[in-house]
Order: sequence, then C-alpha cells, then structure tokens
Amino acid sequence: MLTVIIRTVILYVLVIAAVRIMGKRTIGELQPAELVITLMISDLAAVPMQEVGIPLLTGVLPIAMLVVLEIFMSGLMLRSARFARVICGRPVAVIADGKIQQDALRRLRMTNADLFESLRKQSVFDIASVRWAVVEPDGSLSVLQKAECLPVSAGSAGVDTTGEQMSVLLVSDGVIEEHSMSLIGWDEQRIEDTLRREGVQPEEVFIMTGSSDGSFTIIKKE
Amino acid sequence: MKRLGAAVLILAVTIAIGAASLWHTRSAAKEMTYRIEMLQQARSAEGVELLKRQWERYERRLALHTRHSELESVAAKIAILDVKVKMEDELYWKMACEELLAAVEHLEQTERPLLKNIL
Repeated sequence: MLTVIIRTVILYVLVIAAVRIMGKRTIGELQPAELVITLMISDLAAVPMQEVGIPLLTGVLPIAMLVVLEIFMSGLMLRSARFARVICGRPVAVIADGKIQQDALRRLRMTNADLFESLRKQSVFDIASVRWAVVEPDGSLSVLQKAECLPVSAGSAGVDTTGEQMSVLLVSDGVIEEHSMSLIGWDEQRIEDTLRREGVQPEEVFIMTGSSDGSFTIIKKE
Repeated sequence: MKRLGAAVLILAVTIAIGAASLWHTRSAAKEMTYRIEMLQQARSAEGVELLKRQWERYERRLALHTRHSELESVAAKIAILDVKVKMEDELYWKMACEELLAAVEHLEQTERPLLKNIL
C-alpha cells in the first residue's frame, strides 16, 4: 500500500510538470488535440498508480513522449498555417452578415438548439441582433452584434477615458506580491512606506491594490 | 525555444532509457541462457544456486522496466529447477531447463520493438 501512495505522489508531480511544460491554457480553450493529450496523460498516470505489478516507467515514458509530441506539434503549427489548419480546422461562420448559414450548421452537425445555447452563453438572446457568428476551431462561438444593438461605450458617448488605470494586487494575505508591483512602477519600499503612513503593518493586510497614478486600496484582515 | 529545448532533452532521455532497458534485458537474457544451457548438460545443485543468485541480481534492475509477471514466471521456473535437480530423472531435468529457457526467451522477445509487440 505504501508503494501505491509513493507512486501516486510521483505521478501527481509528473502530471503537473507535464501540463506546466506543455503551456498554459484553461480547459475551455484547449484545441481538440490538446484536450485528447491531456485526457490521455491523466489516463496513463492512473494505470501504474493502481497496478503495482507494472513498472513506473510504463506510465512515465508514455507521458514524456506525449509532452514531447505536443510541444513539437505546437511548434509546427506556429511555423505552418496549413499544418495548423489540418490539425485544428478552420473557423466557420454560421451567421454571416445577419444571415444564418444553414449549410455551415449542417456541416458542423450543429442544431438550432446548439446555436441558440451558444448565443445565450454570449448574452445574446435575440438572433436578429447578430451580424456575425463564427464557430472557432476549439468549438466556441464568437459573436459580433449589429452596431445598433450594442451597448453604448464610453468612447461613443464622448466620455473622457484618459485617466484609465490598471489596478494590481500588491499585498495578498500579508505577503507582498513581488511580480506584479513592477507593472505599475511600485517597489517594496513604496508599499511599506504607504502602509506605514496608513498605520498598517503588512501582516495585517488581507488585500492591497495599487495603480500607477498612486491610488491604492487596503483591506485589513478580520 | 526554451520549451522546444526541453522537448528535445526529454525525447533524448526517453529514447536513452528505452535503449538502455532493451540492452539490459538482452544482456541478462544472453547470460541466463548461457548458464541454463551449461546446467542442462551438467546438472548440479551448486549450478542451480549460482543461477538463482545471478537471476536475483538481474531481477532487481529488470523490475524497473519489465512487467513483474514476466519476471515472476522466470523466478517460478528457477524454483522448479531447484526441485528437479534433486530428482533422478534426466528427462524431467531437461524439460525443466527447456521451460526456463523458453521463459527467458519470451522475456527478451517482449522487450524488442517488433511489429507484433507494437501491434
């Protein structure tokens, strides 16, 4: 039994490392081939985890090969658009200039119910408001609504947006986040000085955010 | 580029491990086959004992990359030899040696990257 536990830890670390090496994507953004590889890796790891009669290498080596193949394939796709199209497919317009492309829906084996479901997930409840809808290679639907149906933007309403700033997390649960402070031109000394002026110790801070214009927000721990 | 470099490195290590495991299995099988054939001609309890110890040494490393059921099959047949060496019957002795040879050969064959193994 101890063998099972130790193998589980080893394979868990290996799978995490494999997914990390392959690169960051959320599950929802994976291409079909990437999703298959991710599922295969988890399946391969499960076999030697439970079956102590087979060597650990029978899980480790196939996982390593899948990582290698995935990296080579994604490199090839970057270099060759044709290869990328073969592997991932092309985006397909299912609504073009306000008109539903019934042929495209049939080719994609997409029912009207599927189309309406995908539109609702994009917060579009009226098909008549859609100018373009494109099914991407990963299966998601991208929607461009007609201009007259779009909400008013700050730009179109003539609102001055020049003071727009990005706010980043500077302190999280008492710990200074070193990687994000440089994005807005802050450093550790400035964070500590700011906290001292507010009469707060870093350990007492739950969340502190800051912007490049010098504004900040501090939320203390309860 | 870093990721590609990591992929190439992992590929090289994977192939090296595969090649090393094949080489190790073949050299273990060759040595075991030689000893068993010698024993088959000149039956002796000391010879069987030496064979057992030799196998135990190989088994420790083979267990890292070979199915344990294959190794157990060979170990079981060596245990049978241990019994047969004390019996008078020459025919049973030769049969036991042949069975052990077949088990060792099977172990070596399953490690080779042959079409029948791949499919």
